[in-house]
Amino acid sequence: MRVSLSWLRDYVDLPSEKAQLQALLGRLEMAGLTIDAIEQPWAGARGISAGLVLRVQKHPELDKLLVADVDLGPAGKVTLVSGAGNFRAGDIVPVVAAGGALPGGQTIGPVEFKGIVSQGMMCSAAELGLGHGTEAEDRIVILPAGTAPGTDCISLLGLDDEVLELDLTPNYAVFCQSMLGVAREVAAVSGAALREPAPGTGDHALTGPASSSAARDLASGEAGQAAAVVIAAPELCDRYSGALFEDVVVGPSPLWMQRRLIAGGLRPLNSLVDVTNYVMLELGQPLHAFDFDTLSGRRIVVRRAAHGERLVSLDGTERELGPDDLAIADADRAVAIAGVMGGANTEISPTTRRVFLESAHFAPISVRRTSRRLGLRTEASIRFEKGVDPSGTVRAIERAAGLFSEIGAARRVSGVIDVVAAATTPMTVRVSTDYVRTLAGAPIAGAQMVSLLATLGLDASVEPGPAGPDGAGSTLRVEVPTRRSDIEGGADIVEEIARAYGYDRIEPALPSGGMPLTARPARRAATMAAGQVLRGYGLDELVTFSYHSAAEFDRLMLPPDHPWRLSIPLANPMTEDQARMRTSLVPNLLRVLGYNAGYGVTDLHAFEINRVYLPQSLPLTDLPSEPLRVAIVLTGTAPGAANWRGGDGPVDFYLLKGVIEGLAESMRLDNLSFEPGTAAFTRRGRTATISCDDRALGWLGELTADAAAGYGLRPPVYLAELDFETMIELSGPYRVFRGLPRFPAVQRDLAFVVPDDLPAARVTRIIAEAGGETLTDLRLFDVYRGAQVGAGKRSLAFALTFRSPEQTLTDEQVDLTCAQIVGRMADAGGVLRAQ
Amino acid sequence: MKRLAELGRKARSEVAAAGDPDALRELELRYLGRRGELTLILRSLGDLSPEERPAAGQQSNQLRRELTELIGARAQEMRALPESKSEATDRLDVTLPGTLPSPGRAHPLMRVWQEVEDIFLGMGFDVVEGNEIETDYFNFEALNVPRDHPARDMQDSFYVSRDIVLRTQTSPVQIRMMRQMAPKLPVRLVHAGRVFRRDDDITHSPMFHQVEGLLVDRGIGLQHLKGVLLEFARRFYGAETQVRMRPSYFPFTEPSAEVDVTCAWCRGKGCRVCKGTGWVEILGAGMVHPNVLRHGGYDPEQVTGFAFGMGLDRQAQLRFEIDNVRLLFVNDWRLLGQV
Repeated sequence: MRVSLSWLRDYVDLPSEKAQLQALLGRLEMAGLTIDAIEQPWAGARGISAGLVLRVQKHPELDKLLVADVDLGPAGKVTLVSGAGNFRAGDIVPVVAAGGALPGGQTIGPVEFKGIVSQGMMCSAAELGLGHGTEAEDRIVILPAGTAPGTDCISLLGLDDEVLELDLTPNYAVFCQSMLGVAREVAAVSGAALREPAPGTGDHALTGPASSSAARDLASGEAGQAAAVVIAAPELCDRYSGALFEDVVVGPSPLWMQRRLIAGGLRPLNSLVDVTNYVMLELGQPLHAFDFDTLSGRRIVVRRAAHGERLVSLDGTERELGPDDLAIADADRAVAIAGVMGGANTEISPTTRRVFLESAHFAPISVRRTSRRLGLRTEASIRFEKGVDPSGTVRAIERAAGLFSEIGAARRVSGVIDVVAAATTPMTVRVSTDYVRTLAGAPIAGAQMVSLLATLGLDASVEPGPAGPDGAGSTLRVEVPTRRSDIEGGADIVEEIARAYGYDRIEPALPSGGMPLTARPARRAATMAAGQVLRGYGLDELVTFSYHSAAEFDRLMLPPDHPWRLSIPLANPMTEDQARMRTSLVPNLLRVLGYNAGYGVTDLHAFEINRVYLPQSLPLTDLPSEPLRVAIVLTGTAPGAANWRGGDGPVDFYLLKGVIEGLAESMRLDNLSFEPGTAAFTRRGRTATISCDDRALGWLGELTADAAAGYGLRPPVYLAELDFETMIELSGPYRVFRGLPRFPAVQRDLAFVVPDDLPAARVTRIIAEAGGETLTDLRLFDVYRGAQVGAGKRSLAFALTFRSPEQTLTDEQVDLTCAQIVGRMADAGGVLRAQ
Repeated sequence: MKRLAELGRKARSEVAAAGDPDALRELELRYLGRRGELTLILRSLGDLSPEERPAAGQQSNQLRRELTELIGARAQEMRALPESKSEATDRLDVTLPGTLPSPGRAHPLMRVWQEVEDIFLGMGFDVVEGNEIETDYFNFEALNVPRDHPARDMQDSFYVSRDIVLRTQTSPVQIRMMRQMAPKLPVRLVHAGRVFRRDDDITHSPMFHQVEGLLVDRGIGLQHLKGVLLEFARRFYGAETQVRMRPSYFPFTEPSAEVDVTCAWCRGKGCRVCKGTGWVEILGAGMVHPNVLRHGGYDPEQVTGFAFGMGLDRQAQLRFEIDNVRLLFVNDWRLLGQV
């Protein structure tokens, strides 16, 4: 909503001093009316004054130009050259003298036209930023007779006006999409009196309060006979008022009206349309003018459109309507899309002689649906959607009639048609005064509630309870006018009282009560703890989108039946990248790596702990599960390795495995197990599945060169993804202390030459089993392949620690155990290499 | 006794002549060590006659103290001397960087998320979880967003199906938790998480994060909302922070408020962050709408409550001065490395 301050002054006094005005606007904002911007639409204008045309001659050489002597009053006389022909001696015109500037800041200097120097410029409407698109735009503006030469035209024409751009919340939009509505809020905040516009008064002739009992002849008088109105869809239109106008003169509207329309963000068109728009901006009631003689059967029928019914709207587009759309029709055809836009078939034209003016109230939902469906939002539809006072239709007609008459655009045929399909009656809301005080959090007495509501134009009274007007059981009774359809119940009344009282006057207080017991949910706490562990390993934390393109599955070369493909599609993504809800964190992490590689950042070690979305079935009928996953990616140089010691080795499988083992250890997951595995996008022989206590946890592996290339990455890229939910589930809360060892330990190193395909984990298990209870620690410290052990074999060297809880072990006892180990290893094909 | 005097003379001159810490350490060992010469004399005191013993013991101990001090003093002197050859060999360039990996960095959003959660935990709010894919009922209907409300438009929400939507706000958690708890009081919780809206520009990401707060109890009013948010703001932005509420509109609260805090960047003087106003809008809030309480299983005649919702991404942006919200989810190392 755009609010011209000079126009606003018609309805309510505003401080003239800048600082006071600013303070008032600040208070308005604190009452909930957000001011997005304060604009000066004609900023830049300078040195424009009224000039009396003394003499007009043709230019001696250029026959399309006129040369005028113009008296600028105190500034003296000047010679001006003009191409417009609509002025003559005696006219008073706006002149920007050389050195002045037009709105927008364009400076005007002296210009020579074949020997005659124009010492400035007479201004057309367009040049003054007025009347664009009207037939008057290129004509020199003729100021009212009697304007003294030298009068400052910037203030005379209102080119110094300021316009507030309001950002209305949906509740304010109900009653503040009009100058009058905003003026009422200003009056409430400033305490100034509100002056309502009375019908038949225009810009400069406002009277006192309006006569709300405007003449209302129900389908009677001349208009009623001439035009019949039928509401055939009362569920979508509860009231339709109209009036007939004759002696129509379609011409430009007066400059003051054009200027106000422009300030309000509308384009002046002609006197008829401009008046309907002016009244809409002023009162908030959209109006529509039909060329009455084009209405077939002189009838207006408010009905649902027929299936496939077509109408060319005023913007020249053919629209297809249906039964969900409300149409305004004549006897034969649709002539307007109700509340949205009129039809071209009944448009006002220069030849229009009679006009039927519509002022109606349509169901907000219907207007909104139609406007959305057609992609057609208009000033009218915006207002109807948010809320228009159902009781304001007749008043708007009266106001328009007054303006038509004032500017000589049309004469009303007496009588207003007013068809009421369903009367909207003012609502009464009752709310306990205790409730108001509780919710508002302020000690407001009942009488104060009444006076606060009165400033907002709401009538209220207190019905005292048994303990007096401010005791328990007292009730506040509020009469809610029909223009306030946003008020539905007691809580809305509290908001009205609270904002009139001032949110800033509410004293902050902390709630009291019993001792709260608070905690983070286990999942959340585990996520934070795991993040800390992973960051400790030098991994950065990433946050990526919950969705990705369907193409990611192909980019990873997933087979058609891969479980990741069972992903939830979005019905209305904005881009292809939002096509699927992710079933794995991997695709988006790889994209992050690719993005960074594109900027030359290739040493990347990162993780994300976040949700994936797993449907039970597709299409989705129940809500999906949203389990947490932890994904880790490593590429480039190993964390911390790129240092001056020169050990800048690349990341590798065991580095990633170590991170996973460390994370598992931090969660006290015992019995973690890694088995050779496969994945569509990881290298064979360099992939493992991870499980714990026979529960699958996930996988790790090296990305295939093809997949890496698909993301613009250079191998090696190692990645892993783990089911964090299962990890949390298996995570032990703590381990218990088992006492300090009482007897010394014995250390032995054993190395076995084993076949290459005997996994280290099996060797470890064999040794651990054979070592029995006294083998308390077992650490692999060397893996060797080479000539000394022969082809197809490798040597695994272990450091063993033996200790008994009951005695000091003797060498003989340890030797015996080692012999058992060697024997069991021999069964598995392992030969003792050295001891 | 003579031996003792002899030993003292010898030791004094040798300590004075010791050239480096190693030599000094050797002297210390030779005279004062477990098998040092003086130690041996002390041990042999038992062999003396009872008459001689006290004086000899006294002198030995005195010499021991003296030598300990001398060696200590000589060691101090040596530290002031140029370094020895062996020291020179062992010398490190202490300015070389350390060789352990630096810790990874927490994502700016997650840092803010945790901090906000910590503050509300400390104020007695329980942290709860909620799902990101929601039913239309919980995301809209139960939150008093009636059919044909502008916020339900396809252009604003991501839909999975007619009845399932990517939640557009964290508020569905209000309904789910109230239903879980009703009729117990108080309900006092915060929830942070992802939300989704069909908006994508420099100030809007289609996926973003909110933190939701809810307090339902008997006698809760706007003053409590203001009090709790003031306390939060002071802990999050600094002790000087002021809070103001302006009337606003949300379908699920009535009365509703926008909440501003004094700009922490210019301390209210006016700057780019606050656009010269001295105030920064941080969240929307209000008193839980009676219809929402009813949907949650509470009687609005008996209990009232407040709720608030704050954009976490914006807080991360403000804190780390990240001007484009989309940068938060690009995960550009050149950004992560700076904050």
